[in-house]
Amino acid sequence: MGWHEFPLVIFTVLAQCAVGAFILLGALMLTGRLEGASLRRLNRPMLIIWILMGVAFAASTLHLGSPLRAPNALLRLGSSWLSNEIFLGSLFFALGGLFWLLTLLDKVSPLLRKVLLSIAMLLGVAFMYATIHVYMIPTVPTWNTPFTPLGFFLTSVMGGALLAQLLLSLSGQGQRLLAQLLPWLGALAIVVALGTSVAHAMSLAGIQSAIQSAVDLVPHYQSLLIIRLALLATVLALWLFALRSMRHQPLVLCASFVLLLAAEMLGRNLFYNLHMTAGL
Amino acid sequence: MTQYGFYIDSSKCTGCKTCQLACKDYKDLDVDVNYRRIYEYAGGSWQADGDTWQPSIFSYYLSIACNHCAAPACVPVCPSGAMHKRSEDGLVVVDTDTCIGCKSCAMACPYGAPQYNARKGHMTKCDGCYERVAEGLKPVCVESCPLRALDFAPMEELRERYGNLAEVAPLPSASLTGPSIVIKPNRNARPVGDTTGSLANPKEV
Amino acid sequence: MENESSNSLFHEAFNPDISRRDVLKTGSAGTLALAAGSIPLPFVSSGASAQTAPAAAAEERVVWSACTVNCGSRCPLRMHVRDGEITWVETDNTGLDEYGDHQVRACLRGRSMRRRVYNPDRLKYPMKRVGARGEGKFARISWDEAYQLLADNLKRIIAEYGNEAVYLNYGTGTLGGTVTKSWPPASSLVARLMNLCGGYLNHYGDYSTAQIAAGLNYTYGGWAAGNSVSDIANTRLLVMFGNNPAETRMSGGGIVYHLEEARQRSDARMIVIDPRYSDTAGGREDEWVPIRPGTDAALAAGLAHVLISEDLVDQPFLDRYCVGYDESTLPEGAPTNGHYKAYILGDGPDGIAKTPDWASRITGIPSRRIVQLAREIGSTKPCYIVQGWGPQRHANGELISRAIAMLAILTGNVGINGGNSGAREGGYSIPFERFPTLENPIDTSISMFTWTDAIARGPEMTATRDGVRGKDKLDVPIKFIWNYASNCLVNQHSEINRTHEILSDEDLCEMIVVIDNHMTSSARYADLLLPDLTTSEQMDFAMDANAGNMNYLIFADQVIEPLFECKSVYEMCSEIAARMGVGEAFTEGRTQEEWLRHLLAQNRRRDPDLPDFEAFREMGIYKRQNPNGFFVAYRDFRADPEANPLTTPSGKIEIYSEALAKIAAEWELAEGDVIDPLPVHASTFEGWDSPERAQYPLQLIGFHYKSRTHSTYGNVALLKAAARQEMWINPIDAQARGITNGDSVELYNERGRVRIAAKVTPRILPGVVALAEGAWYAPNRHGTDQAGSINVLTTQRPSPLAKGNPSHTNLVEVNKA
Repeated sequence: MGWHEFPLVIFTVLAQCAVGAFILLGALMLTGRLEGASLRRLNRPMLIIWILMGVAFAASTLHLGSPLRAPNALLRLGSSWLSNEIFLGSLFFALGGLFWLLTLLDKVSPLLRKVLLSIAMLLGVAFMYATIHVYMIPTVPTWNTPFTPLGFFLTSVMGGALLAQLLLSLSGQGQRLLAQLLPWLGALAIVVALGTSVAHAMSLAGIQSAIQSAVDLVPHYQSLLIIRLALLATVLALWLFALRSMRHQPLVLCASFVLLLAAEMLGRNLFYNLHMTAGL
Repeated sequence: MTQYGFYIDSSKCTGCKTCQLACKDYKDLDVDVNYRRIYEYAGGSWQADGDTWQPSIFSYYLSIACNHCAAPACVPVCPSGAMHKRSEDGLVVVDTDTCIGCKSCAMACPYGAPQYNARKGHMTKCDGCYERVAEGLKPVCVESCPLRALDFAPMEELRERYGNLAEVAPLPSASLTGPSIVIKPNRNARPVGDTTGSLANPKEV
Repeated sequence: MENESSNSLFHEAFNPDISRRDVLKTGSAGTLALAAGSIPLPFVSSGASAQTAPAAAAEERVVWSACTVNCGSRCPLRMHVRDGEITWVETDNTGLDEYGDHQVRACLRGRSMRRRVYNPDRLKYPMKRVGARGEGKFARISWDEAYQLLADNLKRIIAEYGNEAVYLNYGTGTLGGTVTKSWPPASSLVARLMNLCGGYLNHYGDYSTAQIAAGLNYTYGGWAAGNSVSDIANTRLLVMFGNNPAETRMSGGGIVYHLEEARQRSDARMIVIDPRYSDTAGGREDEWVPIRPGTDAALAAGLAHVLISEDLVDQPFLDRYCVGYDESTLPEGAPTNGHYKAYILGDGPDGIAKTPDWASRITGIPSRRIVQLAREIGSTKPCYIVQGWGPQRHANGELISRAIAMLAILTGNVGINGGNSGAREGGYSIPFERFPTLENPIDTSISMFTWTDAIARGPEMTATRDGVRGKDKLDVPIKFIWNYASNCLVNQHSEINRTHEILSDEDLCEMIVVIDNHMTSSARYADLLLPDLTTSEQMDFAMDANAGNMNYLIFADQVIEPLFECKSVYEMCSEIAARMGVGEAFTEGRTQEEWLRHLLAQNRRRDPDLPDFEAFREMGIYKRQNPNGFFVAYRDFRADPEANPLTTPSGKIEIYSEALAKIAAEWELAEGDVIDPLPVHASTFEGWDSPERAQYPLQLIGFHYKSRTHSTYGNVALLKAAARQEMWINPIDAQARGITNGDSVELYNERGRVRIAAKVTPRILPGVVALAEGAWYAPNRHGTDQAGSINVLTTQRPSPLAKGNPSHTNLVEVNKA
C-alpha cells in the first residue's frame, strides 16, 4: 500500500472531524443554553478545531505540484467540485474562525454571532458535500459508489462527536445533555462504520476493468481493514471508559481521538489506494 | 467546431513504439512521461497433448495518446481551468502556466492521458500537436508510424472512412467520455468489457 | 534512473560519474566549467563550439542525416538544428507516401538518435588503459600520443609476429556508410590502412548468418538469394520459418512495411513458425505454429514425408534442376539409398521414416497440423517459403537452413514469381562503388566466431578441425585487435565470462584498439580508446538497406560540429597511416568530403541517373524502383539451367552435396557434431533432447529487440524504459517456479548467471525462455549480470561446418531471485 496521497488523507480526515465537531458544538451554542462565561469557556478549546483546519489546509497544498499557484484552484468556482471544495472550505474556515474570535473577544451582538455561526455551520455542510463530489468521478468505479459519501459522513460523525466530547470535557461542560448523547451517536456511527466497511470490501469484488480488479489493488486489504476496525473498536472502548472516570477524562478522550485519527487515516489511505479508472 | 481525432489501426500495429518515441523526442519528454502509450493486451492458454502443445492464445497492441474526448473526464474536475477543450479543433490541452499540479485530471481520465511531470510540478499531455495541425501537418506520431497504422483528421472524415468503433478491450466503454478515436481492431481483439486477458506490459505504460 | 530528467541527462553527459564507470579522468577546465552550470535542454555541446550565441532566437535548420546501425534497414533522419544543437529528429517526409514511392520512416531508435549523440556514455578524448584490462580504468592522452602508441605497437607486433597476428574484429556499429562503414571489416578504412601495411588475418562468416551462409552455399552456390519481399504480392501462401521482420526489420521503408503492403495486395495466407508469438504474427498471421528451438529440420522432414508420400512434390523440377532427390539424380560416388527420398521414407542408413508422428515428437507440433501444413504447402502455388536467420543460429543451423530450403525445392517454387528459394527474402540494391579498401596480401582466414580461440590457442587451430581457411593451420595467435564500431569484443560474442578470461591475460593479445562513440562493455577492454564521431558529426553516404523493390541512397550530411575531441575514423586512419609511412597512399590527397565527391562522380559515370553532389545533398534521399520489377531469385536458372547454371559444383541445386560428403569424411569433429551430405535433422548438445536438460530444463533463445539494434542504442534511457529488458517465460513454466509477471529472476547455466525481470506471457512455447540479445553486460561483484545480457549464457562451442555462433542453442534453469 502506497502513501502517495498522504497529504489528501490528512486534509480530508482532519477537515471532516473539525467540521463535524463544529456543527455539533455549534448546535449546542444555537440552542441558547450556553450563555456568557460558559459559552466562552467552551469556545476557548474550540481553537483546536481551527488548528486542525489549519493543518488540513497546509497538508492539502503539499499535494500540489505547484503550491505557489494554489490560488488558481479557485478559477473554476461553480464548475469544478475541487474549486467548490476549496472555496467552501476556506469560507467555512474564515467565517467559523471569525465567529470563534468574536466570541473569544466577546465582540458584536450575540444575535449577530449566532447568524455568523449558522452560516458557518451551513458552509461546513456544503464543504463536506463538495468534498464528496470531488471523488464521485464517473470514470472511477471504485470511488463512484454510495460508500464514498457514507464513509466521509461517518468520519465526520465519529470524529466530530469524539472531538466535540473532548472539547466539552476540556471546557468542563461534560454534564451537558449533548455530552450525554455524543457517546451514543459515536457508538452508532462506529457500528455503522464496521458494517459498511465490510459491505464495501465485499462490493469491490464486482468492480473490474480489463486490466485491473478492485480486489487486487491493495495487497492485504482485508488485514488492513481489520486493523482499522480493531482501532475503531478500541476508540469506542476508550471513549466509554473515559466517561466513567472523570479524573483523566480529557487525557483518555484525547488518546481515543488520536486512535480515531489513525483508524480513519488508515481507512482513507485505503480509499485512495483503491483508485482505478474504468479503463487503462 | 471541428473535432479532430486519431485513427488507430490495431490490425497493422506491431507495437514498435516509434509513435511514442517520436513524440518523446519532439516534445522533449523525460523518461517517465509518455504522451502516447502502447498497451499490450494478451491472454489465453496452452493444452498439452502428449509431447506436443496446442496454443489458444491472443495478443495485440493498442497505441493510445489522448483521445480528445467529446466529453472529457479530465476537464470538469480541473479546478484551475488549465485543462480545457479548444473550441477551434476540439483538442484537449493543458495550460501549463495555469496548472497547479493537483492531478485530478489524471485521476479521472480512463485512458491515462494526463501525464504528470514531477520535475516541472504540473500536468502535461498530448496536445494533438495543434500547432502542427494548424499548419496543415499531422501530429508527429502519425507521421512517424512505420506501418501507417495511425491517422489524424476531423472525426467526421475518420468515421466516414473507417467506421465508428471507439472501444475494444482493454479500453473503457466509449460511452463514458466519447473518445475522438476510430479503431480498426486487430483480428485477436477482444470486445470492450473483456477480462480474459491482462495488460502484459504494465511497467511500460 | 527511471526518473532521469533531461537536466540530469545533460549533467551526466558533461559530468561523468567517475566511480560508476571507473573512468580515470584528468581535469579538464572546459568540462568542469560546463558541468558546474545547470544548462537545460537542448543540450549544449563542447566548450569549443559553445560560442555564446546571440540572445536572438536562432534560425532552425534541417539537415539530412541517417541511422547507420545493423538492423538491415537504413533510415534517413532529418535533424532539426538550432544554435548548433540537434533539437529534434524527423524522418523522411518527402513525397506523397504512396507505396512504391513511399517515405522511408525511421523506427523508434532512429527517432531517439539525439539521445545517442548527446549520451552521457560518449567517449570524449583519446584514453589509454591504466588499470587491469577490462577494469575500465583509463587516463586521458593527447591524439598525438594515441597515434604514436598505436603505430609503435602495430609496428612492433608486425615485426615480432607478422601481419597474421593482426585481426580486425567483426563489428556492425556503423553500417551502410561509404567512408564510415565498419562492416564488413574488410571493407572498412581500417582494412585499407592494414592492407597498405602488409595485411591482416581475415575472417569469414558473421554473427547473423554464419550457418545459413555456409549451409545454403552447398545447396545453391554462394550466398543464397531470395525473392524480393515485394514479391509476396504475387504469392498465395506465405510460410515463415522463424522470420520476424516486425522485430528485426521494423523501419518504415523496410521489410515489415513491404510485407504488410504486399500481403494486402495478394491477401496471401501467412503461416508463422516460431517458438514465440512474434510481433510479425500478432493477429496478422493465419496460423501460428510454435516449434521447439533447433528442430526446424525435423519439421521440414515431416512435411517432406507427407509431400512425398502424397505425391505433392514437383518431380519434373527435381529431375531437371536438382541433384540427389532420388536415385535418378544421385551422384555416382554417393552410397546406395544415400538420396533425400530414401532418407525421408526410411530407406536411408538410419532406417527411420520421417513421418509426421516422428516429427511431432521432436518439434512439439501435433502431427495432424504437420499433415495439414504439408498439404497446404503442396497444393498452393505459388508458395513463398522463407526463413529468417533465427532457425540457423543453432548448433545444427547449417542443416536446418538446408532442410527448410528443401520445402521450396520439393514443391518447385524456386525461380518463379510468388515463390522463393526458401532462403531469406532478397531485394533490389542500387549499385554503388564504395571506398576502395585495396587487396589484403594475406589469404589466411578464420571464422569470425573463433577469434577468442585464435588468441588463446592460435597455432593449434587447423583447417579440418577449426575451419581455418587459406592455410592448413594458423602460425601465430592474434596479438593485435582492431575493434572499430564493434561490441563483439565482449557483449555480442558468446560466453562473456570466457572472453573475459582470455582478454584479461595481457600476455595473450597484446594490444586492443577500440574506436567507438560510447563506453560500451567492449570499450572497457581496450588498451587504447579512440573517440569516434557519430554519423551526425560527419558527412557520408548511407546505403545497404534491404528494402524490397524500392532501394535508396541517403546523403548523411554533417549536422553538428564534432563533440569534445572526437575525430572521424577517416582522420584517425589517415594520421596512423602517416605514422606507418603510408599516409599519401591512404588518403590519395583527398579529404573525407573530397572522397565522397570523387566516389559519387565515379558512380555517376557508370550510372548517370544518380543525382550530382549538390542535388543529392539537397534531396537527402534518392529512391529508385527496381527497373526489372520484382526480384526473383534464380529466375534465369529456372528459365534455362544449362545456360545459367548455379555456382555449385554440379551447376544444379544440390540436395545431396558431394563436397559436404567429402568434408564429413575428412574433418575432425567434436563429439556429437554432424556434417551430412543431405539436409538431415540432427540432435545437438544442449538441444531439447540432450541429457543436460535434466539439470537445465529450459531452452533459451535470443531475439532482436525493439529498444536496440543488437547492442547499439542499448544505453539510451528512454528506449530502455519504453521496451524493458525482460525474460519471456510461459505461465506454465513460471507457475512451476512461483514466478509472476514482473518478478526478478535468475537464469543460469554452467557459463554464467543473469538477473532480470520475467515477462510471464502465453506468447512463448512452454519449455522455452527467451531473452533479447544485446543488453549491455553489467556484472555485479559476484559476476551475475544485472542487465539481461544473453551472452553470459551462450557458448563459444562453434557449429560443425560454419564454425559459427549457435546463439540460440542453450539450456538454462530459472529461479525466482
